[in-house]
Amino acid sequence: MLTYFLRRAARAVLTLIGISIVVFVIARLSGDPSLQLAPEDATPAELAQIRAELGLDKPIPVQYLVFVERVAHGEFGNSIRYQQPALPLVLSVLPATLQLGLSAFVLSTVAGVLLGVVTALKRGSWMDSATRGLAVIGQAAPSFWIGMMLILLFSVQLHWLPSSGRLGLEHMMLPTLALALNSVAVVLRLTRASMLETLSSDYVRFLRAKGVPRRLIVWKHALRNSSIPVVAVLGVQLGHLIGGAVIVETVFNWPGVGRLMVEALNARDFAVIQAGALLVSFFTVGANLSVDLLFGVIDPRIRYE
Amino acid sequence: MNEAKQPLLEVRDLRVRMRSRDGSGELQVLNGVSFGVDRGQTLGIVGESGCGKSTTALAIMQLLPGSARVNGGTIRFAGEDLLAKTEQDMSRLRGARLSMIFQDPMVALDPLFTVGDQIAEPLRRHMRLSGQQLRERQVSLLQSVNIPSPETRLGQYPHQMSGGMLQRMVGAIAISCNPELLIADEPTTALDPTAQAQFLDLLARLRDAHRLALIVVTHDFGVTARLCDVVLVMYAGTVVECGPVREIFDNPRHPYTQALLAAIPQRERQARLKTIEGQPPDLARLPAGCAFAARCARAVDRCRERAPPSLSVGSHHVAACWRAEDA
Repeated sequence: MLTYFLRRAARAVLTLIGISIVVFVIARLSGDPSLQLAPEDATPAELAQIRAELGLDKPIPVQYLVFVERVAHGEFGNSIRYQQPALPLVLSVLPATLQLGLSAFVLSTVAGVLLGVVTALKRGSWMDSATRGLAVIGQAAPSFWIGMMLILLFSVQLHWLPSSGRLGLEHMMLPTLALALNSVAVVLRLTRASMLETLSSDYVRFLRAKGVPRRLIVWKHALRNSSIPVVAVLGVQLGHLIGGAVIVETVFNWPGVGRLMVEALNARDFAVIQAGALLVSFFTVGANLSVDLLFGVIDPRIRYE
Repeated sequence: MNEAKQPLLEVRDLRVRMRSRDGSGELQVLNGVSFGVDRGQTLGIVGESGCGKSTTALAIMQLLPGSARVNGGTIRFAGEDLLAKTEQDMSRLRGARLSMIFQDPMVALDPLFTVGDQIAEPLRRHMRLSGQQLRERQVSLLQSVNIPSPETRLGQYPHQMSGGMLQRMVGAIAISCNPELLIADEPTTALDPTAQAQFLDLLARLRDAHRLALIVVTHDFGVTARLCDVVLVMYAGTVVECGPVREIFDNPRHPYTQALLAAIPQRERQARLKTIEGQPPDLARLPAGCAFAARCARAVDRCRERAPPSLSVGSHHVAACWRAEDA
């Protein structure tokens, strides 16, 4: 189990390094920030001087190494736009994004698994068909469209819920729903399929032959066995949800990392882009690592690997 | 009716229909199966794949798949009508008074729970054991099926054991609550020859120790010879012959039984393996007469026109063949 975990942890670190390279290079491909900093009538010499001050005159690999060295000291550089350190800037809006991502994650896990189990048990009923129909729509529709439709219905037409901002619980509901719907559909469909397969397995038949009551078979044995593929997908979903929050935040004017990143991208604010992307990746990779650990807890065949 | 004369399990004219796999219609997979078995006695149900032997076993346990339903006959167990019981009542009987083990021990246990936990389940439910008593019972059960160092094994998972050991574990679970009837569906097919012999010996020992009524479903006459008192030969959902094991081996009266016995590989003259020509009939298009007529060398016109009744051809020996008495 320990070697299993160490292997996964090493892989997670490598993933983070890979992400940092990609983010670093892509940010630099997006344009030249000196153009935004310099006055409109700046001469090429003045632009070159600004670039030199920012360290942008060096080759990209060298810039990257300088960046890594700074990050190792907790330094992500200054935001060009706000003229203050990038890391505290990102950290100040991170809770809003995590709040949104995690609440959507909890919603998709609980609703997806419960609906998946129930539809598997009621296979072929009208409820099963209706839920699966909705799930197909939920999986096909993009979250920004769902977000706008929710705003139209619940804010514009019914005036039940606010359409933007982050004040109380009621502000959270629409963005959470818009973000979670896709994951609910994914988790539901997988749970249902996995549950149906487990329920037709040989060991479930032997459990019945032993006289184990149905409720124990479903909630103890079948659910745990069905959860293995579901947990794998949940890890991926958590990444999607935090990434997807970027779009939903823009639709609902939610003051999180996503909105900050969109602004930073427009301003070629490299330090903020890098800090934001790395922090979000850190949480995503961490989520996947927890999933790997969870596998070990659920499945003894991995624990004794 | 005289209570003393009634066997522990009595199956009368059992009929089962099943939705065909392509969903086009229903097939009559069991077409009037009757037999009885008593405590201490072993009944072997023999036949080719698809003849309905496993369906018979599952029908007794009321564990038929959702696509199948009983559409006739009775199953009486210790005087009670099993077909009239609710699922809840059946789940109290299963594992407690009637038990069943299946073909492949490698997939019979939940891979995510220790074998100890899986032995404990019926003990907790049916015998209300817990704590020290439960522990002692678990250990003694493992000992009774010859599993060494039971204390360690109880804490292990199925993937840590061999097929032979798992099948013994499954056996221990099946007899954990002292059932009266044990059904073993192809219990040795998935095992290697050494483990097969060990497991058959174990079944015989458990039957004698607990005075079990034992039903062994198999396609292997070797298993029947070793274990059974009475043999039931099935073909296309019906019983074609039934009788004491010695009678069936020495004096088989149904041409199908004779052909099956002739197809057993003989060590001495291994010239060519004898097979039965043709295929079992399509259950969707059963012929009007005897289901075996198309493959039978001795079939006459009458065989193709009318299904033969079960005829007594000896003491406790019946065969469903128009020509059983001519043999």
